[in-house]
This record gives sequence, C-alpha cells and structure tokens, in this order.
Amino acid sequence: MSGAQKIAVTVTEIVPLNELVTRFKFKPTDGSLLPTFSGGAHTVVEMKDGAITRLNPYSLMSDPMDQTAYTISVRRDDVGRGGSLFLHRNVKVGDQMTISYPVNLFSLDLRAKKHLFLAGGIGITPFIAQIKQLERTNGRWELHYATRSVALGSYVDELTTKHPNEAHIYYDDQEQRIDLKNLLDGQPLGTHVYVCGPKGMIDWVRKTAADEGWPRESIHYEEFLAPKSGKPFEVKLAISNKVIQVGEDESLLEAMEREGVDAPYLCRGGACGQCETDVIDYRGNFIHRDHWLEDADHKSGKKIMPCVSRFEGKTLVLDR
Amino acid sequence: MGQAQLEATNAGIPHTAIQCEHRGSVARRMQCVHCKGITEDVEVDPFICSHCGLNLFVRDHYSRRIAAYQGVCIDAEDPGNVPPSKGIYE
Repeated sequence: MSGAQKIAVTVTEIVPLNELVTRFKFKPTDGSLLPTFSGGAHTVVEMKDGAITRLNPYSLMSDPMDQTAYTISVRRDDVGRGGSLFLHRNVKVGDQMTISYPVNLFSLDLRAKKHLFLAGGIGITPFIAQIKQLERTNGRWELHYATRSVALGSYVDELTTKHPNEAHIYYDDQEQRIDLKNLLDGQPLGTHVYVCGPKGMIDWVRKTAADEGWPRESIHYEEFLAPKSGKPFEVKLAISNKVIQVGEDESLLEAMEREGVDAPYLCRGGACGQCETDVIDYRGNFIHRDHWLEDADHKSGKKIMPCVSRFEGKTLVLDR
Repeated sequence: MGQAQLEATNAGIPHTAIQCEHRGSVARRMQCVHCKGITEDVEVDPFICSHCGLNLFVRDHYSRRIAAYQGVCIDAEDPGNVPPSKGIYE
C-alpha cells in the first residue's frame, strides 16, 4: 500500500474561524496516543465523498509534542475540486475518518541562528506548529503574516497576543505590504527564511532572496498544489498492463488508484517527489504543474508527476 | 581547512556557500569514537589514539560539526590483532 501509514481518528471539534477557514480536531478512535511530529509536517486526510475517495494534504497546526490530538485548519475553496468543501459541509463532530502519519516536507533547519517566517493567508498553518516547537526550545524567530483583511485574518489575535514582539501582520485591504528587501537586509547571518502561501508570494520571496545574494539552502518554501481539472486523456500503464482513462475532474494518480494500481505517493501536491513516474512513450503535450522536477526534466518528455500533472495528446505510456 | 569551515558555519554561513580547495598535507584530523579525543595530523592507518591509546581504524566518515574524521577501534573483538600501519592513501 502506498502513502504513509494510516491512523483511524474521530473528529472531536469543528471551529469555524471566519467566513473561509474552519479548524478540525482529530483524536485517535482507539484512545491511543498519536505520534509526535515536527513543525511544518502535514497529514493526508482521506474523505469518502460518495464513490470518490479524496486524499488531501493539510498542515498540522497543533503543538508537535501534543500526542492527544491533531488539528488542521481548512480554507474553503469554492472553485476547487471539492475536498475542502467536503470537509466544511459534510464532516460532523463524532465522524470517524482516516488520516496519514505526519510527513514533513517543510521542516525547520535547526542549524539556523534565526527563523524568519513569511506567511500568506492560510499559509500560516505550518508556522503555528513551528512556533510552538521553537517556543519550547527558546528558538529565535520572527513572523510576517500577510492576510486579506481583519475579518479573514485567521489566528491573528492569538499570535499578536502571545507574541507581540515577534508577530507582524499586514492587511491587503489596508494596502499594507511586507517590505521584503529591507526585511532581508536587516537579518543576522545564519537566518533561514521560510515561506508558505500563494505561488506568487513564494516566487517573489525566492527571487528577491536570490537577487539579494541569499544562499539557496537558507530559503525554504511549501505550497501544496491541488490537482487541476483538465481534458480527459488515456494512459497505458506498461507494468500493470492496463489502459486507463483519466477523467476531467480527477488526477492521473487518482485514476490509477481507481483502477487498482498501487502507485506511490506522499504529499499529493507536487512537492515531495514520491510519485515520480518514467514515461516510456508519448505523442502529445505534457501539462507539468509540480515543484519537484527540474525544468530540463519537464522538457525531456521522460518524467511526469501524476499527482498534479496532466497530458494532452494521443499516446502516453508510463512505466507503472 | 575543515576547522576554518566549521568557524564559518558556526557563524551562520551554510557549508554549501563556502568554496574550498585542498593544498598541502593529506594528514587527517581524527576523532576517537570511544573517548571523543582528537588526534591531529594522522598520516597512517591504523594509528594509536593520543588520548585513550586504543588502536584506531581511519574511516572516511567525516563530520562537518566536529571537523574531523572518525576513528574506530580496530581490534575490539580480538585485542592485539592489529594489521601493520600504512599511509592512509596507500
């Protein structure tokens, strides 16, 4: 079975934070203790939505040392494929669900002298766990958190009350912007930068830091991509000896799973590299969307990440 | 060179941002895994730990944190059965 090990949990608390974001709390159904994790880790939540099984990654935001429960915060995406809507609308307190063991693709580099966190919108969630971790070890950190408005500023009050000196908030609707160049300029040697938010923000931070001469290893980022819908296409799986159809609203990975093919995965968001698959033959165009492969790999026509990338054309044969 | 790099990484510079080029002696700075003592300028393998006196095998396992290679007792199972020393790169 692919993916991380599974945990059976019960939903014990659902707290709407604002118009878009709701927090969910999970406790192990059998009353046992959950594994500890490290700040920045995510869990993959399984959702049985009718005939479809959705598997979406969400950052854990509870205290990494708290083994009694995990919490996640989910932003409702009205134009997404339905995972967040399912959690918002269908999940009730007392429901039993399956989540994965924590996996961390966005961990703190503990060699850092200081951790500089840059969050955009719902990208705040991994930092909440990382801050709890650093507070235990007296780590040095600073948060700059851009959110749309006061009404949509999830966890702003909690952060500014507990950490008035470390947490800095910027409201888009008040034309407040992170002054990134100056902020980077004033950091002590050995600072590591972490950014989680929309793609535009991640690109902006990476580019600005690179232009300012920051080492690549000191810049960390995480963005989970949701698979995008697209034109249906046909795929031949050489090892499984199957020809499968990928529907408009499912990913290549989901189509393989539906057909009973045990394809590897972890994050399901184009970040971890676990599902990397070799292309044996193709005639057509790839629609690469992952953060994992290098540009040269994307152009080579030899590799695809089935969790988020698609294909348009006549023939696609995969080594799976 | 390793110690200079360690000073730089302790100051917060990532090791990947430091360019190094080796010149001169190929002797190694060795740490004994048993007593943690450092023996400088080791040119032969095995060698005797300058702190605890064990016969140590020169491993290629290098620690950037300690700026030293790892030395492990070579005759733990059969004390005294120590092969003759020769140059590390011979």
